[in-house]
Amino acid sequence: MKGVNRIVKLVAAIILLAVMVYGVYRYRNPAEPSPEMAILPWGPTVVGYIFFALLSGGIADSALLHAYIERNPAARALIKKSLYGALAVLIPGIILVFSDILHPEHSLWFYAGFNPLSRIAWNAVLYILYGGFLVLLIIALIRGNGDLERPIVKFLALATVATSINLEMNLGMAYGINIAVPAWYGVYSGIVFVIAAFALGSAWELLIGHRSPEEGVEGAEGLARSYAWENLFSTISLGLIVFWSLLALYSWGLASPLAKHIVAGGMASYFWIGYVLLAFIIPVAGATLYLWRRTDRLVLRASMALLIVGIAVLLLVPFNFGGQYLRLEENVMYRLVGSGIEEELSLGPLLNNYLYGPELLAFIGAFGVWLILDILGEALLPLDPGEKPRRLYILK
Amino acid sequence: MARRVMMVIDMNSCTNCMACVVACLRENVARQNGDGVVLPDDAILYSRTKPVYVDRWSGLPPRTPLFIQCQHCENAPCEIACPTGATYKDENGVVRLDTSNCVSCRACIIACPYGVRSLYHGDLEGESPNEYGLEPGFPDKCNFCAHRADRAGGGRWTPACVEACAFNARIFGYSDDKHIKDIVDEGKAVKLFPTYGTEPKLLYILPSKGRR
Repeated sequence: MKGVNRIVKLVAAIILLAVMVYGVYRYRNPAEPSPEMAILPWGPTVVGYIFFALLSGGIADSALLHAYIERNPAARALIKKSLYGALAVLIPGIILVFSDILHPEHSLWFYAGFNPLSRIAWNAVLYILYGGFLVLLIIALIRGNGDLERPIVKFLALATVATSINLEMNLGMAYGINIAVPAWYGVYSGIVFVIAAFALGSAWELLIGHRSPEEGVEGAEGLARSYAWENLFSTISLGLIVFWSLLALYSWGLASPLAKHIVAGGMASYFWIGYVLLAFIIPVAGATLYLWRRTDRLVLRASMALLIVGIAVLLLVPFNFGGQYLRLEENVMYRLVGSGIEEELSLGPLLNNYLYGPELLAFIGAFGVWLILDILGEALLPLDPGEKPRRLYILK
Repeated sequence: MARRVMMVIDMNSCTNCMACVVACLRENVARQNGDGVVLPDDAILYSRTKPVYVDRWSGLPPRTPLFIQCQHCENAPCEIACPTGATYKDENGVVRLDTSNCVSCRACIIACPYGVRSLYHGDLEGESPNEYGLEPGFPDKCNFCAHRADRAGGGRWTPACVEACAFNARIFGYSDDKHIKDIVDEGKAVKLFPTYGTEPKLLYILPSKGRR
């Protein structure tokens, strides 16, 4: 059965990788130049690398908090697997960063020309620091047979959590760099991203993580309940902050057009169905039923899958598209003069072209990188509880 | 502070003839290939000075025509947002882009509160019209025709749009030049959104009531 699973995973990974390569190629080599890049410079690829970073940070933070703070025995036993899972979703994010920047051959300048005032510059540093600490922590745990009490492991765990939370916060704060657009969340975005990371991380662990009782890990069902509680709190907190930020936008004259677009305008279906239904009502109901009525894990897993999709929609439309659209269409004091351009740049066509293009394929296809890494990790690394390295320092 | 160059656009003298836009496109955007001149589609988006309608500003009536371009802010948000230092101010205070270390993350386009930077995403045949002309895949901006400044070897130069203006609506020079200093000291010219604190070095003389 395991062999069949691996083949299915491999086929899915190859298909997704092909989709990603096609998406990145078409994004970088557009069939015809479009004015959209002049208007909406940040597309779904940017959302893709943010999403994977939040997901990774959420998985690592949650796993380490359950292991160290809750001292959950199953979380401690499964820590290598969880942290490797976090690394396996961080790498597609980093690949999307290099796919997104149009001149990756200059990327050493992120460090050689480091501008400490730039939030994007700090993102470049924090991705590397977080990724580096995570890799070192995984190696230290593999070498130490999963012992979480060694001082070096404790130090690396603390550094991993600190850098991942900083990365999540800084990714959020990178939206808010336009002083003309008070509607672009600004102060809210950092905390929204940190909470979204916890919601994503716990949902991913409940959906994908190996914590079913049938896996034979002691206390696995208890750990699933802990994750379900964490997910319930983070999903409700995220909903409250999104609601509060919309209320604040409404009450702020210059910002109210964005709130109106989100709640009752051209972005409303993405907000109400994409976010409120998929990422709030259904997962809250799914986690509540699981915790109180002890329903089947299948219902919980399905609701967690919808939560992950819903948070991606929240990031894609209100956060990324909304602010950029408002930057030019509502808040900037002028409109471009030009025959034919004004119509092309109205909300409907812009949103359709923004969403349903090669960049979204690159984002979706990036899950293929995760699948490949998941297969490789399972095959090569001693990640199961009690498993020890036998070859080449860290291999099975 | 070192000497700074400034531009003033007198909206009373401007007739919206678009000569500045054409001059900018010819000087910084248009390329020659074997068959003729190549311009991007929707070329107006990529002109470094763009014709726009003002919707709300200083009590001007809606749809007042104006030319918008890089304001060469002393506190430039695009320079702050740039992770690699590719956007920088030169010795004259001109905000410029060094394409050799730009990764094209487009944070500068996002950060510009005036919405004046744009990026051409596609191919263009032929050579760039000058060493700092529009390059596909980089966030382009006005640099007050820096290639002309280079050729002047530290002396004075005139940007293409200023040269093309038949009505002297564009005034260019150093901030301590008498004709510029008088305009600034007399308060005739205003900055675009001064509350942003960006300290633009491009100023506008608003149309007098009879001209509106």
